[in-house]
Amino acid sequence: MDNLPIQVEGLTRFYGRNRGVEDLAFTVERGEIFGFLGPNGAGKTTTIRLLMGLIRPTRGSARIFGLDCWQDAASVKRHVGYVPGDVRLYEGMTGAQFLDFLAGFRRGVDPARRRMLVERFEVELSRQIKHLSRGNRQKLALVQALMHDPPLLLLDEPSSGLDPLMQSELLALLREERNRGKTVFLSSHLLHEVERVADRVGIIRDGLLVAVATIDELKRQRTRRMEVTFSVPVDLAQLAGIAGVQVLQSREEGRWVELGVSDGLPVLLRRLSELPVVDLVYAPPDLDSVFLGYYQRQEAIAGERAR
Amino acid sequence: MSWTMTRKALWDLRWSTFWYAIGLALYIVLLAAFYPTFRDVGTQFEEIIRSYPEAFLRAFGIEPGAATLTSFSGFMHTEVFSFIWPLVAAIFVIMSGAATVAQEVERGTAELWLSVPASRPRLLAGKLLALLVDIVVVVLVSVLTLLVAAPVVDAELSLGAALQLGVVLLDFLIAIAGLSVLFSSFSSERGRAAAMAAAVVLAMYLAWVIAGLSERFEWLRYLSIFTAYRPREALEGSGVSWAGLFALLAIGIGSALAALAIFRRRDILA
Repeated sequence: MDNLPIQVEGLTRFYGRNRGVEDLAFTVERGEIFGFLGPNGAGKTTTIRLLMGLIRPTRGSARIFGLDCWQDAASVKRHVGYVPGDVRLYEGMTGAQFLDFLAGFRRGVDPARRRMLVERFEVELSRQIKHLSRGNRQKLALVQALMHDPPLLLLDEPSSGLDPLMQSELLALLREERNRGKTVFLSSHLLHEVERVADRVGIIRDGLLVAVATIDELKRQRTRRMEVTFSVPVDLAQLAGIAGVQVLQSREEGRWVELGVSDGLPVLLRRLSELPVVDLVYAPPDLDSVFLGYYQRQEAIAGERAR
Repeated sequence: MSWTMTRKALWDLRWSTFWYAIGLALYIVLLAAFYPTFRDVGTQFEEIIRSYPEAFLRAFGIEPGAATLTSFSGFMHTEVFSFIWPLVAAIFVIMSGAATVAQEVERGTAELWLSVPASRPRLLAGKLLALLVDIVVVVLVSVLTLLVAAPVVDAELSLGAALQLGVVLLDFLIAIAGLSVLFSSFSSERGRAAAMAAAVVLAMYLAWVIAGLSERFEWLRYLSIFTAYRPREALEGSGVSWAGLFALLAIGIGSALAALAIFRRRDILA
């Protein structure tokens, strides 16, 4: 297992004429948490299905520890713990039966580890799965992915359905796993979640990989939106002149302005304090702010309007 | 072959196997209980039956010349194994076979099902073994019930005849199971796979009926698995057609192998 946990080259999948993903290329290093960020429908799940050998690539290849994800699908899964984006379990089984069933395919599932995970996620094992809530099903899916202690975790929106406390617990566990040398591929549309744990991120949109960056680069490059309303028209040139601040659009002769802020916040705040500000909205650091940072200003605005 | 998969599949099918096996056995007991009544007035009934139109009789799997109700084997064939038994057992097999792949895709469980370190053919083969076991159970329960019922109603049924009947029933269900699994292997809905399998089986049944009625369409019999389904000869101990039984087995195994190959290469899109 000298090979990289994940190595993707020219990976392309079309559904008929529709693009699922096209020409993806990235690697995931051992011992890192790789966040895979993108809005819904961007191609995250398609990528994970390709990695799991559920669908065949139209072109290109995906390798896990050097094994081809389609040709060697069965061997690949020996090294992978998987949580699908839409968790569907066998309704007629109890949680314990379900875990036993999946463990039956693998040698050496440590009962102590399984118990630890069940306790940590507070999983209901004795009830039939059809009576479990969405969050409890999600936790069961997490336990089955982690219980055989795989060197690579493929997680598609793993925190969906979990309450905030459990979400934190999950992220803490992922950090621990990384510190034990495990690799995590974490797909998510929640920037704050990825920012909390990931070492690097790949950003996907409309089936294309927009960028691969470290979290620090990501934070530096993102552009957050700020909307400011003034009581009187204002000369916007004095705002546009600040390094790291762009005027995205303005209305009402300069009484309302939307700024893209990637840097220079202290300078901007000082400048604003001298102006007749009535109201101010500073958007949280969401995925949108990342895309805004990565695209040309004009393109981003055109894209927003077209939507 | 994955034993873990086989165990799970057996567990999943336990209740339907149980109820179908019991239901068919009860039907056999019920009809066998009527046999003494028919034996006494059998010749009159045979005349009535012979007065029915040939097409009507053939539609119920009865060959007009061979409609004997006076012998136990003839009676049980006409009343049970010519129509009701294959119909009910085929429903069980079609529903179970159609579920193997299509239901996992339909319910979205395929993603976790295929996340284990076993190849798709091995996983499906594990399910097929379980289906075979359940088919054997259903056939065995029916044949044993018949063997026990015969002496109770003062009728004779040799062990050899019962065994041959078992082989005929088993082969017939294996052929249908193969076809059902084949349709399941590329479907994403259990209902659609079952409908396709049922349509093919029904078409083959009609082909067999028509072939018996018209000399011009006699060739149709070679397109139908019902040509090889001959429980009467087995029951009467007059010798079964081994070529026909081999053909049924070949259809079942061939279809199952095709299903494994198709499932291996298909996309799983939920």
